[in-house]
Amino acid sequence: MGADPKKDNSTLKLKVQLRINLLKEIKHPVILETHGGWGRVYDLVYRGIPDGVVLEKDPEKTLWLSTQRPTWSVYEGDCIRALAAGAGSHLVVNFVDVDPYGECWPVLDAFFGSVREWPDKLAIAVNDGLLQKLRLHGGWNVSSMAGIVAMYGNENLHKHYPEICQMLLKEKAAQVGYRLKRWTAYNCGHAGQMTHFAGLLVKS
Amino acid sequence: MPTKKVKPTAWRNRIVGHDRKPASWFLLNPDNWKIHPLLQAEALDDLLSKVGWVGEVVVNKRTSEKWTEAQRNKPTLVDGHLRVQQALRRGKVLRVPLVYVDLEPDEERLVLVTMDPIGTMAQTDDEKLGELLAGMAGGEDPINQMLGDLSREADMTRLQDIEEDGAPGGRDLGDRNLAIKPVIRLDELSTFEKAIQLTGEANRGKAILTICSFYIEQAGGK
Repeated sequence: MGADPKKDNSTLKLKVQLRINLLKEIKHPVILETHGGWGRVYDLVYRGIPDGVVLEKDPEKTLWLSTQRPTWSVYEGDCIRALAAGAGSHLVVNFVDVDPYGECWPVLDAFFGSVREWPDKLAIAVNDGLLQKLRLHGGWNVSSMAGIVAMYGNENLHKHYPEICQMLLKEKAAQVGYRLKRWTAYNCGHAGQMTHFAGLLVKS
Repeated sequence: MPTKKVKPTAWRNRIVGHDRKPASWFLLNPDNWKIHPLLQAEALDDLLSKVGWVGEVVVNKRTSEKWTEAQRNKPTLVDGHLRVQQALRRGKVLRVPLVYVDLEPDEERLVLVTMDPIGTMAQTDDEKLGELLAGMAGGEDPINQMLGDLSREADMTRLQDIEEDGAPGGRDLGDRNLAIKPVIRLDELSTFEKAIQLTGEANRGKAILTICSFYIEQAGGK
């Protein structure tokens, strides 16, 4: 039986390193953390950064996040709906950290589809959990993979997922006038079920 | 005619002594501006555990008349706050090696502000670092294992330049206006966010105060 990716903490070190490396690209970071959780990544990476927005569904966790980072804006609720409604648009966010339990694409769609001021440089760090489903050949049933299935074939999606991630990020970012300047992606975690990727976007 | 040798101007040596003191002896500098994330603290603790002390913390004796009476002759930490804090976590009596300097207030401020930033101005020679890590990693020793992990993981998490430019992927995006966006609008949140934006305040707390003040004003101050 495979491990539940929700409980796989083996990727924390990589997650943290990836974000620390990406932060070097942004001079004055203003963070948007879409899934705050218990604030572990904040403790390890973002502590000391005064401006940011964090979203979290769980009321208990939200309460903790608001005491953990008093200068940030803390939203309680579903991050996709909140982002689409303009949560955090009072700040010019230039560093987005997406760490959902499953796939990241609906969150990125909501972010790039929202009305907000866009900075010249935008860093995106993502942990994505779609790979397990793609390995089980379930890609045909995932709306974000529509069109991609035809390009790679349902059975091959998992083999190409990091490059698919790059392609999708390029497309979504291009909708608001960005091009991808720097990039990294890799699979990790138990049986390689997680995909981490990061991109630095610049205004084209 | 014999040429006269010009003596290069020597830098002043401001070091006035060395010592070892218990962690609880140190007076932290109230002007220390550095924030140390947990990851840095853990990494430092790990290094100190594996290797031990290889550098002294810096303490300013503050003997100059320019210091106020309250500050004068109060040896105060200038560099090494995290090392002292980590030592304190292990026990107040743990002895920390230190170097004494004797600086005036302006000099201490300058050192506080510039010491780490000057260090971070160094550029990385990736090739040399790679060689260094390659030469160190791979053995059975735990430190080598750690460096091996560091080397591999740093490679994974390092960003690479994208060579092609402009092209937003290999697919035709079509008419953006016709694209269906998975957006579900929350009316209350939208209104609230719009109100926040209309205040023109970058600080969210101030924006909320502005909105509240407006409503109080509308309600005749009640």
